[in-house]
Amino acid sequence: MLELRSVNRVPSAGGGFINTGWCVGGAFNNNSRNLRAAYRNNNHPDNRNNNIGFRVVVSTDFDVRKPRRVRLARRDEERPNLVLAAPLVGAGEDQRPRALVRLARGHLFHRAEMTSRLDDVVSWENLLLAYRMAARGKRGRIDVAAFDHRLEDHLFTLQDEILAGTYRPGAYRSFHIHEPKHRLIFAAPFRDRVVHHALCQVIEPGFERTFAPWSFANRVGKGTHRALDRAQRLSRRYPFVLQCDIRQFFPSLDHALLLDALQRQIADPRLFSLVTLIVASGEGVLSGEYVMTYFAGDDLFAARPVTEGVPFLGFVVDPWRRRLKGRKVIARRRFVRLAARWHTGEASTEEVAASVRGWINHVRYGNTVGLRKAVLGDVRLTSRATMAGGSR
Amino acid sequence: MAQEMPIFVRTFDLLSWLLPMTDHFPRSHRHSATRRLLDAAFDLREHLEEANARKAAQRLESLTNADVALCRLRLYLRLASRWHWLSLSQYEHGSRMVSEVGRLLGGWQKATRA
Repeated sequence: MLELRSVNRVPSAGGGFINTGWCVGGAFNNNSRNLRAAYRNNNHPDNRNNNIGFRVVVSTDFDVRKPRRVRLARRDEERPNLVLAAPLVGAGEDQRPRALVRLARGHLFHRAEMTSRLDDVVSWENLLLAYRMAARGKRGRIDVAAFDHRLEDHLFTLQDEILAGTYRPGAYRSFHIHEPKHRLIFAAPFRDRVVHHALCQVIEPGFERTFAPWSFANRVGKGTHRALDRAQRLSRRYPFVLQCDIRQFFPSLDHALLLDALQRQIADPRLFSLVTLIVASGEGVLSGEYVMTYFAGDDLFAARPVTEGVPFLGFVVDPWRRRLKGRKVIARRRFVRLAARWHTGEASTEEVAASVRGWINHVRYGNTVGLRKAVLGDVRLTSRATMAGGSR
Repeated sequence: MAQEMPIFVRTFDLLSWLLPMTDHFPRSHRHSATRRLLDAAFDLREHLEEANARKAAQRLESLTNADVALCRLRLYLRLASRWHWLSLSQYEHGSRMVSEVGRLLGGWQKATRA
């Protein structure tokens, strides 16, 4: 069980004390028994409190290298969960609620103001670049092609609308994906995606500087494989892990506080109103899909020894080894089917090779030699011309 | 009638800007891409003059031809930019003029149909 290790008690102006300083674990509101999420106090599962939160344990060995600039940030990576976390230690009575946003503000948003301007966002050059980034790999899609057909006119329209303040984001489109697991995805209309890219091009560098280096989701030069490396290194330093995930992060975020934090970073009021519009357009997304899940087992949220292995981003990480999470069967089925389609001539050799190579390049980030042999070993492409790599 | 006149000013500006721009286009493509670009621009203006001289259905036909020429012009402008024959700001300037002409042309077509 995580314990309160040390707290600096400082007399407050109004009498009493304020707790300050860093603590490793601990509770600010309850005794340590109540810290376990499994400790439910006979509360109904729907019960909600505003005094619960958690804070990422800060370790000193984080990577301080500047993130490398890569031309295009991947935005569709699986969102890494927080690795090692401890319950939030409140700094004082007044700051107890809104723990989640406090986390975000404290770690992400409190640095120097930036100088990005709306004019940079809607510059011709930036809009063209944003279009190219948004359209990459999707130019065959109907909505993208329609935008492309009258590209210049669309960009001028966007430019005029944004500058005049009449730009309004469209409705999100929702669909399901089944791999790696069943998820409901919301996608903005293409023209809004162009605006998102245009905006990010301008404001991202400033934010990037202020992001915690151990945050890996949707960032240039980061990503799941580096997150895995980091998780494993941490697992060698710490004996226990408490895995946490902020469910429905965006919908549950207090938008007023988020915007307040953003406003400190974005000096140009016109740029800020564009950001406000985009944040507001995301409101309501997911809210209809809020599915209550009940905690099944009592120990689901208890801190566990890292040596048991931590399921993280599709792998199971323990201090000295990484294995693939139980997806072997799915992968195997996929390759067996692919081989069958290849035999009938439905799938081309290049297609098979690309699929196999893609899978190998992912799983080789774990200790998966045996798994690769087991999955691909007897998948053979024999009746047609043999190819390199396909039967490995 | 009078409210259709701006389109002639705009196309004139477009043409007078465009022709000197093509001076620097590669010689090897002078008789293919550059020629087609300029042809499209000249066709546009000529069809507009035709439309101005005609009435009703015939005018609409000329306007449609002008529209087609405008689409060709858009294509070659974008290609010229893609091949770096035009700088980004030149591309922006040209596209802005084309876009403006397109707006005016659309308005004229709508007025003729009505």
